[in-house]
Amino acid sequence: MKVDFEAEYRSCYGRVFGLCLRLLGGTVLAEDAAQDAFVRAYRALDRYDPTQPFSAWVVGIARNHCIDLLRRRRHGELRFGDEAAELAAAEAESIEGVDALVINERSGKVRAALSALPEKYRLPLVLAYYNEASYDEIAEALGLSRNHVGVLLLRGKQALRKALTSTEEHPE
Amino acid sequence: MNHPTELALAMQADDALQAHEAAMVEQHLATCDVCSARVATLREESRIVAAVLAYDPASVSVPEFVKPASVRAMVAGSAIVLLIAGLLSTARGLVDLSVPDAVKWFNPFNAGGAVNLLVRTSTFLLSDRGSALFSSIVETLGGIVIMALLLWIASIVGRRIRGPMMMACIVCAFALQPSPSQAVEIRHDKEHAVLIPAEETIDDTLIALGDTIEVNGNVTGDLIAFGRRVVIRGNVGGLVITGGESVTLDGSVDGSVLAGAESLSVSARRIGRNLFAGAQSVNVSYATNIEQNVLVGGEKVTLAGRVGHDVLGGAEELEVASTIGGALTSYSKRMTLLAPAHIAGDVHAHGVEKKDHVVVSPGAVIGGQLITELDKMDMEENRYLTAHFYGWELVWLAAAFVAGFVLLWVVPALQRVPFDGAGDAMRSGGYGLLALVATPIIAVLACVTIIGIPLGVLALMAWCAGIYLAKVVVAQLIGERVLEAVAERPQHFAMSLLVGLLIVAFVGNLPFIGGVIRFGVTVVGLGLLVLFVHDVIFDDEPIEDV
Repeated sequence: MKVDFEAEYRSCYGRVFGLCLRLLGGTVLAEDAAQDAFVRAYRALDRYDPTQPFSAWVVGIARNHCIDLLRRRRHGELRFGDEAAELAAAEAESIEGVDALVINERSGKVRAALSALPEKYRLPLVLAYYNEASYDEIAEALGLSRNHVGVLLLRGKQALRKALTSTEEHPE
Repeated sequence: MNHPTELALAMQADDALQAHEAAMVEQHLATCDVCSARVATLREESRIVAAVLAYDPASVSVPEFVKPASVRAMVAGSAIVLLIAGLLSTARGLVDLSVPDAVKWFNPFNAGGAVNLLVRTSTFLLSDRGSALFSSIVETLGGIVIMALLLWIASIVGRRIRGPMMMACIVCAFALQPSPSQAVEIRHDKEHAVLIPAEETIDDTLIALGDTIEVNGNVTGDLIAFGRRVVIRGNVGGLVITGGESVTLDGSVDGSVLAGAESLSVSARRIGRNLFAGAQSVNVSYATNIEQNVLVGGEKVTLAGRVGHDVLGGAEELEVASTIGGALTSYSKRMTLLAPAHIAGDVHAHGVEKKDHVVVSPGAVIGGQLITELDKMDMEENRYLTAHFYGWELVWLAAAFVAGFVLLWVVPALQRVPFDGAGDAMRSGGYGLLALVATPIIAVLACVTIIGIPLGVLALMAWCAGIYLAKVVVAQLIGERVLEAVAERPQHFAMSLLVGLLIVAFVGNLPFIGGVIRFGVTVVGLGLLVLFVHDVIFDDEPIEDV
């Protein structure tokens, strides 16, 4: 089955760009990365399995490309911290504060708090909740264990709660 | 009752537990309201994060997809570049043949000549002790370097003090702006003459534009005069900038004179600073007294009178009968020293065709040495046709490969320097240019103190190493990108380096643009190295907007 690349490109571009933007930050970087991802897909078209959705395939390429770019930016290494230390910190953390997310859902504060999260928490969160990648997929993409991914997601959400609770306590 | 851990509950909320773990947690949740409520809350939390991260694809305008170039297109492109390079090389040969030898160093197509001219002029200006032109160049360059350094420091130190630092830069910029001390008077008559009678004194800077300009009166500020015929007989308190078909300068000038004309005649009683002149025919008379330097170019240049410091002249034919306080450097086909010429320093005659084209008349005195350098241009073959050229290129390539291999092997992170497109090229180019210019200045300044000497020497050594290794870093990047485009699997860094170096060597030797490309490669590479070192030292993690 022949793929109508142009049509697929038009239909998937927004989703791919969105992922690149969430992962990389700047719009220009995201545009470049999205184009690169489609160029890679175009070159590898003979390896595409038409029984799978095209969007999932190209989003996977974009995700790997963005992670590769982030690795380059950090000179080959993305640091996600020690799993045991992160887990201990997660268990020690207060479980309260989820309400802060619910209250602020529409206020823009959650988005701002997400933007300010350290990369080690932000990347897994974006992959899990924007990209809807499974823990195994995230683990493979970031070179981590499955459990480590779970810990980072939990820590990321805890950091969000903390940030939102502290802004509530100390409003600007 | 033993409750599952927070992690287990969070993973359960994301349906991410393995089947057997999930079954155990489910079993617990059936009997524990606290944990059930907790999982429900965590699910809600995940939902909110997903909702906040959601992006509306409809809001994005889809740019046109540009299909990547095929290998065939790249080969065709390279062939076209080679063809154009060949044609340009031929054209350059033809231009070289048609340009008179004496003014070959003016030929803009001759990169070597232009660079040589730039270096000579800079050396000349540097030796021009205390001239206003030199001081203003130094002030401006110094200002730019200081501002760039402040900005650089500001970007490094962090966002918090960036505001005050920007303010400091703006204040510096204002402080460096020369304050206008005089008003400007403009006289313009396109059809007729602009005449300043002898009894009139202009107490401002005068800009005169017209067919014929005759300035018989005095100007206390600067004089800028452009016309078909320009005659300046009055005294000028500042600088004279003038141009026209025929320019005559008879008055006295306290500042420098910058003149361009078909025919230039100078018999000024005094020029307080320098004479910079370019004309088909230049004649500086015996009456003239130039207190500093002379930089003159033309077809026929006759120079008499007295010059305080040095003379740099380029002409088809140069005749000198002046008393020169410093050295005389000539880029002329023929050079004659006529009596009563008296040159206190050395006389360098570059580019003469034959030794007997340098004539020193009896009565002319040279205090230093007479150094004659024959014109090698005519003897030079096309360098691309010499085995010598390819031999040296091969040596360069091998040395760069070995140095690059060692560098990338010792510092593997350099194999993956961050570089995401044109923005990064501009950014690293800016840093590279700054490092290229500022490092030697800072190193020299550091050497003023005894403690600073080792630091200054180290900085200069690092600077030299950086300039050499800059090509390696860029070559590795280029090689990696090219191999990424054509090869299916990632290649060893040595292969990327070799491919990149071959490309850099090839494009760096293209006629016309080769020099610019080599400079660009050095600047970008140096910038990447600076940023790399900065990142290694500071290891900052920028906060980015999601």
